[in-house]
Amino acid sequence: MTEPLLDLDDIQAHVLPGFGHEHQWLLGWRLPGDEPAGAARALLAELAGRITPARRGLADRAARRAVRRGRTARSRLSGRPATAVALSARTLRMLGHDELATIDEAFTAGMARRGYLRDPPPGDWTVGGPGREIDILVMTAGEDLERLAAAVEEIRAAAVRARCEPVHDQQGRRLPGDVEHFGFRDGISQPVLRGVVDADGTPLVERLPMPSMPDHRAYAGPGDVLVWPGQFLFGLPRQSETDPVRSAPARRAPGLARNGSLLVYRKLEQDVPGFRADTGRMAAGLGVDPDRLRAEMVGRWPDGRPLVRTDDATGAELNHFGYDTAVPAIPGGPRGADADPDGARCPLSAHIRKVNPRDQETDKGPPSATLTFAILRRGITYGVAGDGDCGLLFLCYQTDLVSQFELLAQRWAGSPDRPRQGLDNGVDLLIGRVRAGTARRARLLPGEVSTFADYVIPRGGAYLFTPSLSALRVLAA
Amino acid sequence: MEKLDTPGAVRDLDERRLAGWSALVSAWFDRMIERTAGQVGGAGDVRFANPLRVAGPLTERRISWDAFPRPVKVRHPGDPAAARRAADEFRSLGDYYGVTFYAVRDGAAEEIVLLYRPQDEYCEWFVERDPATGRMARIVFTSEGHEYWRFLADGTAAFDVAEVPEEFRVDGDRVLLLRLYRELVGPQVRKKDLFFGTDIAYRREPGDPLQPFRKKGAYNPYNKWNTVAGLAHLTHPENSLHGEISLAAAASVPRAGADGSPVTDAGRLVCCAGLGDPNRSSDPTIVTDVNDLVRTGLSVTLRDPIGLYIASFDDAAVSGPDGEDVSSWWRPVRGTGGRTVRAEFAPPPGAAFGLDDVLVNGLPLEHGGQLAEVMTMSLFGAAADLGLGAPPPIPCDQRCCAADDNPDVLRLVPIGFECPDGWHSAFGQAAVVPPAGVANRAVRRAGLTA
Repeated sequence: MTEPLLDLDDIQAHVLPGFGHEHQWLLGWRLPGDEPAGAARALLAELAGRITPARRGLADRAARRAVRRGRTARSRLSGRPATAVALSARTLRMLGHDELATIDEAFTAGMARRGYLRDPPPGDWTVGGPGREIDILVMTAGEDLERLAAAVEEIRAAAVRARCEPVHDQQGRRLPGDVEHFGFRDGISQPVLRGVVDADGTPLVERLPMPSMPDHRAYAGPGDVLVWPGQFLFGLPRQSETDPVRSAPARRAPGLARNGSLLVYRKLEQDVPGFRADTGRMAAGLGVDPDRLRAEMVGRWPDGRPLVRTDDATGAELNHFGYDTAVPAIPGGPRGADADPDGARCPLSAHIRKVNPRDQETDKGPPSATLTFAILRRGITYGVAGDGDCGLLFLCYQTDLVSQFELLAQRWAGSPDRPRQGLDNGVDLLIGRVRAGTARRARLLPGEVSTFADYVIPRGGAYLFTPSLSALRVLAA
Repeated sequence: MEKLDTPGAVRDLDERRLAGWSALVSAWFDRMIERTAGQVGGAGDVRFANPLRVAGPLTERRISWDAFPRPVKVRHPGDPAAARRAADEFRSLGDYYGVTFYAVRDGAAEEIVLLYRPQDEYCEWFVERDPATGRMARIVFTSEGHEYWRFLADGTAAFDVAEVPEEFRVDGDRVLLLRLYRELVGPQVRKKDLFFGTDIAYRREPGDPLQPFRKKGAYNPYNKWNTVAGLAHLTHPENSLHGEISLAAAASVPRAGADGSPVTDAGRLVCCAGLGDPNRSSDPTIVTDVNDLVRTGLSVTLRDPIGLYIASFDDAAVSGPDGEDVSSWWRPVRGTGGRTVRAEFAPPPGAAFGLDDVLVNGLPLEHGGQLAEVMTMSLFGAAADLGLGAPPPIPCDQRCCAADDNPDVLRLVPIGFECPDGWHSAFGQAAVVPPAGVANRAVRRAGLTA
């Protein structure tokens, strides 16, 4: 099937390919009570020229990779910060674009009202709580903290001129080795967008020769599963639920939504001492090594090696495995790996199995359907472990909040017998949330563990819409 | 085990009728075992058992699915509000079967429309409104198949009971039937409303002779108190207890594709075996889970009490207009031991606000489907290792085609047939000619006379 042309000059780089810079700053504002539309337009007009398109994001990423591989000097990196902007449903309504404000019912309702996420009461939120809702969120990122801070200062000044009320100011920084604060490497598995970037049909992501895989999916390379872009960008063909290689028509959306995406932003505080102490207690109770127990909660070792693989996996092998079916060795590439359908090596409650069951059938149907629940993760860590407030600024993109983020976070992470049917395996102990006052319980390989502690505490956030650059110009006018 | 219990282990029946019900359900199991033997080429390869006759310990396996009808949802991609509206629209039973129904009185036939709900995940609902204000008063949900209610009305005579031993054939209890309707639906239910007032017949084409469907005085599962004015039990033709047993039996047969490789994933398997509606959440899930057990060498059956159950309701999704806790408004009302077959969501007496003020994940409650979206249904399978091992797979009978304009919508075609115009092969399965002499063994679930 022909893959669609991705308009790299219209899509924001935060959606595609993501910023990936070491430093990131999130700034949020609430619109003033009087003339909110004027304030929104004024700020968007000031921001419009700053927003980074996907084309530059891809070039910056290529440059960073070249530096990392020693192919070019660090001085060759563009020091200019990358910037993105996302808007609340309220902002879109104020700007007279009800058709965008109602593009997704969860977006329209807002994260604070999505009760089944079982978040702490919005009144307790430190981000986006009552009276401090984020109407406009700017994410700006760079390698050079000084230049980034200068850009942030300019944006703050623009918001002052526009009379927007600052409600959020949060710095993030990637930790060395791309680990999160519990010490585990993060962001290993991401869906790869189908799509071409020029008239010659050059794919966005290079396709390596791959044998036919037993899960019937298509891969750009080992572990890099291909997904149609409409799962993440409005106006483009989405993924078929029933056929892992076919597309389905784009989700119905107004023309102005094209190349835009829905952003979930959640500030997730991590209680690192609590996590270590509680998992230490569990490990002692079961008579196992605490590091092993923590790895079982995650499904990977801290360096990213998946528990499913019995070998010393490296590189592409970290993501080349299935649960239901063994994967073959790729000629000149990663070695094959045995299946683990019933969680004999990696527990069914492990975080990576809960939120990405890969080739395994789920309560939502065949594995092909699972591809339609994928999200593009753009999170970044914040704070310093052991120094109070630290955690993850969780950011992800999709075109259907209910069927993507909410399904993974609420239904799968928080259900003891999902996504794998019929077996009570417990909840995802990292992010699964249960009824207040109820123990969170999970079955690990040496036995069952339970806790009343939350290691990851949602501190609020917002559902937002990240428009295309062309839509942003329309909204600012 | 001596007897099979009623769905939800409800305590409506006296001992004699309970024994009759057990014999009826047992007869369905035996019929399915015989049918399966015909499919696989002999009783030795059957791995579906009658729970009354399974020796040895059984391991229970819960199989769960979403309550909101997926066939409705997939036809409204990205528009859940439209899907909820569509799920509330009654459909014509005649259209479902491709026939026209007639009330036959004194030799004259008058066309009639029997209605059913498109809520086909073994969960149906009804929104009761205050007649004075039109505001929502109560939303009721059921997972009870029509068979039990037909049994209440007419006993074993309501069914083809050739396999039911004479001594277990019992009459119905229409007094009980009426009492249950009045308890569950409302005191305004009149006895005569529950039964067909004439003979009911049908025909496929205008010139065809009329075929008998139900006799005058037979229980009418599509009566107004179970459709437009209330809810007692399931109405969708696929939502039946018999269908559950039939599906589990058919799912106990391992299948192989054209290349001989086992068909295991939910999508392909439900198409391959030609079972039910491949668009549903329930059928593919049930089929795959049962089939998984058989392929590991186990024999399968259903756990007594055999039924379809409302397993859970996510009460965190509902709140009052200012965030008030309304979790206590959800109440299982029928079924024992956690086997809920009927539940309702309604304000307690004296509540400060009503259903119209309730929010479901931040959205005003307007449709019962919003609650169904946060409900889970279950059935309970059971497996036993009888030392028989896994039987050899049989070829596929059917395959699925996907709609070109919405490939999430599937339909079945027999092996050897092309997809119709506007449809393409789902799962990359091309049309293949069935091996010579292999009859199509697909099992139709909801027959017109079932």
